[in-house]
Amino acid sequence: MRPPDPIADYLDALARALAFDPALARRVAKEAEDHLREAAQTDGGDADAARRAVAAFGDPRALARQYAAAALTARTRRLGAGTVMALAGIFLAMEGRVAWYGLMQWGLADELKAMSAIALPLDRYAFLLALALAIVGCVYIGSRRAPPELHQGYGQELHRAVVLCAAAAGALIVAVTTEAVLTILRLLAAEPSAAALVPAATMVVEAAGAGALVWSIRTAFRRAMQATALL
Amino acid sequence: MLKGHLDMIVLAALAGAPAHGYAVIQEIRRRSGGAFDLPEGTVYPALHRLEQQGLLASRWTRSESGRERRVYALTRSGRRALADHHAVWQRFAAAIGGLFAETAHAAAGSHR
Repeated sequence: MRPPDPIADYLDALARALAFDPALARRVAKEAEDHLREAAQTDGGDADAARRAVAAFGDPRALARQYAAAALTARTRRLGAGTVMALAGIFLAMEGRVAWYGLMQWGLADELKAMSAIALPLDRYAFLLALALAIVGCVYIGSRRAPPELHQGYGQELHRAVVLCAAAAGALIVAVTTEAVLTILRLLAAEPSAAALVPAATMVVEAAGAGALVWSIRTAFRRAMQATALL
Repeated sequence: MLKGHLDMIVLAALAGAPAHGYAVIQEIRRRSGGAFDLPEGTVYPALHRLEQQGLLASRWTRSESGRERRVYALTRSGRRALADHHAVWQRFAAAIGGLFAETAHAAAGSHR
């Protein structure tokens, strides 16, 4: 059994309160440990000194709330920028594929033309909607200033920014899925050749970009939930 | 009231030399004559926030006892921000000083 160590117990509680950002939790734990051990040492170095150092440091959940506002703001800003970058990458992949079709003089089979007439506007408008939502999300979170401590109102503002990114990702998935269906049908209708590798590769890039974005949004939601549990 | 000025207080404590969190707290306590006795942990989120704003830079060093410690220093933007805070504070203090001087004068007049 480990001897009672108020500092170690406090650091555990602090790490639990900062679970919304594991990298931040590790850094804060190291800094807090250095502080608490030095304070306890200066004050006599016994268990009572350790308890006094812990008491003077403050409530771990209150501290976590102070970290949460800035940490979640930075994370949500990165998410907004990541959403715009994912859109830019997917746009380049789409344009690259269209340019390749042109270069290869790879026309659309007649039976796909009717479907394409419906799918392409859907693809285009879904992509434009995703772009508009991502830009609004970016501007919204960029205009927020993190308060010294996370509170209910600011938590809702951050949530709103993540929802905008999620809505952008939803519209983007519609665009990528439409592109994927059209690309697969086009490839199936053509003779197998090495030229098919380029459209297939661009589709993989698009799917990976959309998947990474969905993963980031899921993580952002989960961390925001963990942080708002501190309120 | 102190909480609203924490960023300025932390920047001022770091104006002399780079320091780790514990030393920043000691410096605040020393220079305020013990008047600013914050919950000690409060300084760390402020250091982190100021670093994110680009007003501080930090790096890990090793203490004499072998523990890792984060040392913070003002950046150029941090020095500018501190100078701005200082100017605003001086104007505010002068205005409040003027207000109280008038009040004291009026109070003295009414006692005559």
